[in-house]
Amino acid sequence: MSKAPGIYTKLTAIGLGSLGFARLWSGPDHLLEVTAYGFSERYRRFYWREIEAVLVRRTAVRLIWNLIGGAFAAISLGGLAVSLHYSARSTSGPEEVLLGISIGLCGLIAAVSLIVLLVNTLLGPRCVCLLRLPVGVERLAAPTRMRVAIRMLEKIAPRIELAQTELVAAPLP
Amino acid sequence: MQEFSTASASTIACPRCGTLLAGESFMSAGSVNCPSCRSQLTGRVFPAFWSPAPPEVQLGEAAMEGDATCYFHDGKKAALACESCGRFICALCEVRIGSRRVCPTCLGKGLKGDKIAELVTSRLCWSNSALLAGWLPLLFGVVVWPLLVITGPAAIFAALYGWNKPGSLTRGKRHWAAVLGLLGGIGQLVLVLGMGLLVWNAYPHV
Ligand SMILES: [Zn+2]
Ligand SMILES: [Zn+2]
Ligand SMILES: [Zn+2]
Repeated sequence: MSKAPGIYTKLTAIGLGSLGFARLWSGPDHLLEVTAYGFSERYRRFYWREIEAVLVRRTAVRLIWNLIGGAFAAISLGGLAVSLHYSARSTSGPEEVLLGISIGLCGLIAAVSLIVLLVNTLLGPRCVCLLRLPVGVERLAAPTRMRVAIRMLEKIAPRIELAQTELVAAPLP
Repeated sequence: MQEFSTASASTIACPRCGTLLAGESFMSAGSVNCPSCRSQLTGRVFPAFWSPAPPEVQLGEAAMEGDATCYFHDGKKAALACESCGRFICALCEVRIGSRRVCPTCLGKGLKGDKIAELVTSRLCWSNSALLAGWLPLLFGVVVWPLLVITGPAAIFAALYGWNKPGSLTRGKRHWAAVLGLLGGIGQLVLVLGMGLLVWNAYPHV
């Protein structure tokens, strides 16, 4: 009586939310949210015919991470500049070793924070996705990027409408 | 954070500040800004938003002369056949799982045996565990090599024990991950044996 794997098709790219790595899959009569924790997976189902509304709210989370990454980059680049400045004139043994360590560490932190900054910016603004159901509102663990969320909305809207064809009753003007 | 409530029928509350917005503003593509908190909202409302499906309360009809009766209730008229075992059941006995309708017995069996895909809320992924236990410690292997005595056999166990266990609902059993994990586990044992021999030989004993 179990359904064979393969009834689901991928809806979104994997997204890192506050609840872990999550991805949405499209099933025959429902939307499946899979949150992966490495050793296990958690599933939540939302049936097409029950989804009343989908809402995507743009958030400022990308900006916050960019500010944090920017602060780290600025501090480490400053440290790098100072260390390079001193290492150019000093020649004594132990001091040179310390300056070398400082240059390496500051360079590493600067490189990592600049990469984070770049990737975070390129992935686009962040968002939260919410589903309104007869029993209340559920927040999805993914997608967390506007671009992915809008594409997801475009993909699932026809499926939801198809599942609700017998309910079609336009709102009174 | 306030969620958009279901309190009123044709409005949607802003998920950030709770201000009520007309459902009509989400009828077409494009985004709207909440008038009070300026949150950018993109959404879509569906037919169920305007006409929520009424809750179905069914008690089951009494059986008349010549009617097929429910497997569980002699006096009730059969309304459908269980989609899993085929028994005739009445409307009262019908259990809906997604779009399928089954009898209470099959529901019970499904809950116990982790058999009905629609009822599974979490799965332990053995092949993934084998992969993680097999390769993660190897990345830090030289530093934590005595730990490999535990993680190596753990990876081998997870790969073999989980071979026939149901895998991920969406990605299946992923046997390749189990095989990789198994190899990683064996590699760890070889490594720990080698390191042990090195240490043994480095300190000559009496
Ligand atoms: Zn608002
Ligand atoms: Zn049955
Ligand atoms: Zn019955």
